Amino acid sequence: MSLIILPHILAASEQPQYATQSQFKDTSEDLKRMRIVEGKPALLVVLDADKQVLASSVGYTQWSSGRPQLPLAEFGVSYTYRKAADKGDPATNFDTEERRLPIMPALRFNPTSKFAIDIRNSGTAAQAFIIVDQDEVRSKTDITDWPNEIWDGSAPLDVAQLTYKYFDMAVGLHDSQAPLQLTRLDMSKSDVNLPLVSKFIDVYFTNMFHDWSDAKAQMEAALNRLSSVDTLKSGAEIEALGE
Amino acid sequence: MSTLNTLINDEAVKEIVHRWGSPAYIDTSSENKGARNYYLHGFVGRVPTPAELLYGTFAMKEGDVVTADATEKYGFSLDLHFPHLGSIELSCDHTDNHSRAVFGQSVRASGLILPEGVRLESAIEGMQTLPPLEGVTTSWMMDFSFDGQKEYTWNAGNRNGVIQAGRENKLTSGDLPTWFMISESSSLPTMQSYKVYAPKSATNPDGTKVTGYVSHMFYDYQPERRPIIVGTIGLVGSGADLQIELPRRGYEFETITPLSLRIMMQ
Repeated sequence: MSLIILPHILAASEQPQYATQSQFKDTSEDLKRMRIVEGKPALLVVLDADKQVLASSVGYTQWSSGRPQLPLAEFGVSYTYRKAADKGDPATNFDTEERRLPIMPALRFNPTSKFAIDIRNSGTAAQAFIIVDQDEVRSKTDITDWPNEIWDGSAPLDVAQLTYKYFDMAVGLHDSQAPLQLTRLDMSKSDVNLPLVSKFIDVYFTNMFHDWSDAKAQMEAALNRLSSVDTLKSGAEIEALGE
Repeated sequence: MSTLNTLINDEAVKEIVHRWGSPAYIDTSSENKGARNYYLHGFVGRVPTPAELLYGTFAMKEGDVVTADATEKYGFSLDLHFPHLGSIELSCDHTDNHSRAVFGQSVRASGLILPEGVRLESAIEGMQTLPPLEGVTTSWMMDFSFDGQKEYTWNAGNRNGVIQAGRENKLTSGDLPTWFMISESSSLPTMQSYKVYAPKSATNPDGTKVTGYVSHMFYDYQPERRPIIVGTIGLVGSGADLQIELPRRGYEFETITPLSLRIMMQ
């Protein structure tokens, strides 16, 4: 094994409670240059296929390291194991641990408006961007503090022309795996605003620092090494197999 | 990674990880007082797989740390607490070239310091920002030079338990530590652990034989205790991530004599 860097380092490097940032005074003028994501004013813009701004909202970005909201099919690991207590029927001596997920921080966009984003034009959402003010000059709460042409929909938006850093996100409905989930993709200006499915938008970088693409299979293999632990079989099946 | 992404590109990721662990301050009042400390925890036994580390879920089987016949004796603590020798403290803001015989403060770290021209104030009185190193074109996250003669004593941990199992010839990984993790705490992550029992059989009639342990790190609790860097420990020339000198006989698990540790991101 070569050295493993765990994704948690993203939060540990940037969040103020960890050692890297906690040494600096909050009032240090250049502190903002020590961070890429944590606490930056940001815009969310949703575009149609012709780069027309359909909807936009203001907020800020941060790392979030709570329970990850990763797709279960791709990452969730559950297993059945034998615990000692003998309840008579051998099959009931087993417990199932559900859906363990990798510990991985999310890049989170916190919209100021928690439940809806303002619609600027009618159309069908095709892509979305989070545009980040790394110099921390713009407002985290007042969208009018940002240049109009980025968010008001009066002209198409070409992100490549921006001086701000940005990244793109897939847009989808609630049942999709897109980071930005909307209640509908077709929006009409007469609706005024568009409900968000979640009050945060979390983006995971699932293959950072290491090739984690087979992490689920590896985790299942590690669990299946143990006798009377199985990621597929039921308790009765494990019991029938014996030692 | 998407091309429509200028925020989290390779360069930005490198900046983020190099900042973690890089020295930024020096304490002018005392050469040996560290501002930013990290902890290197040593372990014996099987090295966890990358997937176990990512999930924070460790599946420990009999034989991973102690021989199968000793599982019962030591089985109550087959999670990471049993093979944990303890930690040594890595301090990141030293300017002197040589280690000092001050416990836990005896290593030097250098590397990326601060972006050129950045002016920062320390949250701690008496700390001064280190200037960028002259002529430095590459950076690394942590770069420790140890005095090769200096033995560091593991702090806390279960080294007495490990020594005892070693005396009884019950350790399966030999006479040396096998792996380390670096975190921001001298404590291991608090974990929820489950004993796993063998199915009932002729040799296990009441089903009470423990064959392993599964432990989970919590998602939300004490994130500062989480491992951030994990690697192998071995003798010089072994190719391990952290290479050590052969310890004095009888002191294999009391102390560690590391040579160097440079952590970079490719």
